[in-house]
Amino acid sequence: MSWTDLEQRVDRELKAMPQPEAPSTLVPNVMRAVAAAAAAAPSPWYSRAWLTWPRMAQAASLAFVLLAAIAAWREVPAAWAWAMGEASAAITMPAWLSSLADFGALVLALARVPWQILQPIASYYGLLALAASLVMVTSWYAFNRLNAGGVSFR
Amino acid sequence: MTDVARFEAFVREYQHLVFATAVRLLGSAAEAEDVSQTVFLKAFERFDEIGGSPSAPGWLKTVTTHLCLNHLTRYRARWQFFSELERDDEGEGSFAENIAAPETAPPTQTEARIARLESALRALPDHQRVPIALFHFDGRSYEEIASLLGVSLGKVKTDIHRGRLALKKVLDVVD
Repeated sequence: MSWTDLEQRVDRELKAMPQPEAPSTLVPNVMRAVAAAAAAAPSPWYSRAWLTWPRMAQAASLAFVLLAAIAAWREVPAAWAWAMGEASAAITMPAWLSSLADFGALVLALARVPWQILQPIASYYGLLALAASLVMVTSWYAFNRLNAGGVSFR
Repeated sequence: MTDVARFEAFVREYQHLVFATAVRLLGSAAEAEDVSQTVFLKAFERFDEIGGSPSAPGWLKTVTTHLCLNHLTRYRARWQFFSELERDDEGEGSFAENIAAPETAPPTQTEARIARLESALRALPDHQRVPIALFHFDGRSYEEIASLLGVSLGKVKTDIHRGRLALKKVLDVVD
């Protein structure tokens, strides 16, 4: 019997078989499980763990956090500088306040020094951490594929 | 009609579809019932979306297939390990004779034949039964099955062919 003949014969025989019927216990079991799940988890999605949120809410929250981070990174210093410039132009500050502002600016400038020094190193280590994470995820995936257990389709 | 009543009607409508898909992939009625229950719990979580949707049967079949493949991959490790240790007759010649006759004797020859074929299908090893079920009952191509199972096209064709030969032997014995 050729490949095609065998394929057609088995196909015909299998498709002629009636669909197996679900056991009569399935519906009551499902409804019992549904009732238990509904009783156990009455909280709305936003009060549950983030991983269980609806996909749209997850995407929206990620986008919001990302935008907020970008805004904080790029815009806040510029906005602060602009606001300070406007304020200093519009308000005649008393001498003591002016010196206080100078002192604050000095503190801020000093606080930025470590960051200016560490920034290249931090970027390097950030990339390194990202690469290490990728290697770990890939290894984990490969390990699971190799050591998945159960039926092997290979 | 309340949501719960609507969902119960939904389960009643699709229970056989889900169970049949699961039992043909898993080869075990008990495990198929467990997986079916999980499928319907997932459906309940998304009932607002899929409850009245015409794509509900397709969604249910897809979820059932993926859950069954996960089940086979994850939860049969020990079972498979020991069963393969104990298996001493890999020859396919004994397959047809080893298929158990149905527990209750069916009244007609056709029903007996169907029951024997169903038993034979369930008794196939997972790596043959799963691609056969995906090909003949789900209508998937060899390429789709290879992609779904993460194996080569040649492996899928070989496994399906060997499974078909085993089923043919059973049919020849019955006929």
